[in-house]
Amino acid sequence: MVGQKSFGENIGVVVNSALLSVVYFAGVGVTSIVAKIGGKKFLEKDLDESGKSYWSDLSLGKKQIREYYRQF
Amino acid sequence: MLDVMDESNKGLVGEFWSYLRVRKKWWLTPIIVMILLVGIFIIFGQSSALSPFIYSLF
Amino acid sequence: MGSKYVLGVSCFYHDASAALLKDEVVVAAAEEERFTRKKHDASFPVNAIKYCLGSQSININDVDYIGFYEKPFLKFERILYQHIDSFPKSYKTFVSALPSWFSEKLRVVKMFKKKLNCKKPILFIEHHLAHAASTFLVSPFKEAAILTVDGVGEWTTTAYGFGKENEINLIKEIKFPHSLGLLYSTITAYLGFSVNNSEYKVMGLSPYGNMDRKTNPYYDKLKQVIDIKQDGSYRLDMSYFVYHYKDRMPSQKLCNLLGGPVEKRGVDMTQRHKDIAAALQMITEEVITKILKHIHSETKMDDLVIAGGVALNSVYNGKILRNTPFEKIWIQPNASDGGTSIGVASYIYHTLLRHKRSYKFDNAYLGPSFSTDEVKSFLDKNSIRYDTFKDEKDLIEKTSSLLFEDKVIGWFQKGMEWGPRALGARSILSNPLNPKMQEILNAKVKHREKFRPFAPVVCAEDAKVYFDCDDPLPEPVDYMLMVYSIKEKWRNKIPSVTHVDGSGRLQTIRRNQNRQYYDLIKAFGKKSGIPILINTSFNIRGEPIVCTPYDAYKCMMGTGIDYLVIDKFIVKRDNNLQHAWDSEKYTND
Repeated sequence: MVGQKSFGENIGVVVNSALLSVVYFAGVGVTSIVAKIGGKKFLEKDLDESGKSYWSDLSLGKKQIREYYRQF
Repeated sequence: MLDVMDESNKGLVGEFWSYLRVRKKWWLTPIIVMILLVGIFIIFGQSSALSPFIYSLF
Repeated sequence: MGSKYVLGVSCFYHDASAALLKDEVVVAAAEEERFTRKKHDASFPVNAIKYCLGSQSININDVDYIGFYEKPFLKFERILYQHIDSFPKSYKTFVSALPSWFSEKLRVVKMFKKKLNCKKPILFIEHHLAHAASTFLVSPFKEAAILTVDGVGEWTTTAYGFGKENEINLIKEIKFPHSLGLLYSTITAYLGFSVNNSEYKVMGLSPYGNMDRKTNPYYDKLKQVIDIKQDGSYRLDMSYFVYHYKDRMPSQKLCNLLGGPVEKRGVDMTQRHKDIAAALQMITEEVITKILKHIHSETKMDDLVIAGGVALNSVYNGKILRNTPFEKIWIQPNASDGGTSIGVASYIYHTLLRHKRSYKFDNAYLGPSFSTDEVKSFLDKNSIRYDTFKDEKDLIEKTSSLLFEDKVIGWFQKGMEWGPRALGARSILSNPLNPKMQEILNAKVKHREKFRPFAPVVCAEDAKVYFDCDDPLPEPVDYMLMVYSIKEKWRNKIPSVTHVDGSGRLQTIRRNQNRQYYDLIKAFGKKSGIPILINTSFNIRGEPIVCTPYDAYKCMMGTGIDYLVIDKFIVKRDNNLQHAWDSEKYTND
């Protein structure tokens, strides 16, 4: 049983890795390259030594209840 | 149409679709479509075990 | 109109938990780890939810509203951004972490259906809003400034704003990858401790280091890693970190800066390690002090509530009222992610459904409790030898005598505690006057690092006698969330609860919260002259705090606890040696 289970798990890992590799290189990779050429940034990593503040506006407060049924 | 939302949850595809529209993240469409397609074939494992070396970020 | 039930749920990242509101009152709340016995279990909290529902004899479809502690798609967006940003370096984490999104993290609604046969829709509340609600909406304050600091939610890592009556506004934020919580976790990992678990050990190590900014060499070094503005806002220099794309936290550059590779687990801590911990603690305190001063000047409010993992930094919490203009502070005992289930439920009830607030959190015993009959039947069924106390007076008298004779007592009463600390329902108690007690407890049960002292518990009205605490005594002290100095003249009298810098992470207890526990401390005080006990969590090393009578008995028999006082019964370990085992052989901390 243990052997079978780990065999099944291994198959899972191989299949998932193959599928996700395609997504990673074709989806994430292409988007990343196109975006970098276009100069779009995804994580705001730069430091601003001379700036006064890193706070950014959030304004997270009450919305209508139906907005909370969605996952974003 | 955009704001018509009743008091229920959408399915995964519907939810992604309204996410792309409402947040205007059109350029994520190729990745999301691929993820949804691939998702059908992914073999579900247990949630990734907690690693002591990293805060669970992913 | 009958009562309204609201269920809040938190899971998939850190401590999974569930909390149930009956109208505005939190009637049940627990973390999943206590049921599955897996420390920090993050899986969908079926057991915790079932416990909450069972405590009110209702089922999931009787609940009026169900809330989840974050917006999964926004977190997923952040993760996609991380991968797009760091392509192709993040390949490994992409392939290893993405399947869990398909199976559960994007399927929250389905999870409820599948595991609980739930037909209700789910409400999704932003993570930091859930944190803010978890503290403000159950606080004693009508209005207060709010600060939330954790590792990361969807995008936010630090946020502040204010709460008024039943509404919350978070007005400013700092976003991922810049995170004070993740800086703390990175150094925790660097020192060879487990992330998400042992940050408090780094905090406990810091007083052994050099707490002087001018002479601690690592203070200046760590300052290079973070750019702190006058208003407390900050960013990290990401070249020192790899957590945004790898399954590790510090980069090679950070290792070079701190003068060595990442430590292996369990290495002995040298002065260098201690100084690094001290430098980190000083910088954390500096950032939060600046933020709090800024928040005070922006909100002009005198009361403060905080939440998020960083709010468990009890060493700093004890300094907040002295270092900032705030006059009062409140923190919910489960301040980190586990506590957001209370936040979600309260947010739905008060803010979304517009109910006025009159409830104030003051009972942390929200977990499973067991009746006298249940306990007795457990003991009888397993042929455990025990004695029965005549009455409560007898229980208090005999137990306090045993404690005075330096016996180690497993104390099991009331409902299990909510949050990471044992507060006198699932506690191990012992005599703090014995200078050997730290050693004894470590040898018998806890096997802790030598640098970590145990925590004292004292009745609220006696706290001022022994500790230099704020006056009036802030309520978070009831939940061991604030460290204070022990008064000089008492330090050598209670050595096993005195930290190297003379501080103690005390719990204060009021009689209305837990009468037996309170009376026991007083009775011990009559015998010893000092009404203080050692209170440490009732668990086997590396395991969650015990939940059931079975867990408690098993823990006693696997460790060196001398007696288990459970309900009105007392079980002596030596009388039941047929069940003895050695938990240390199986521990994994």
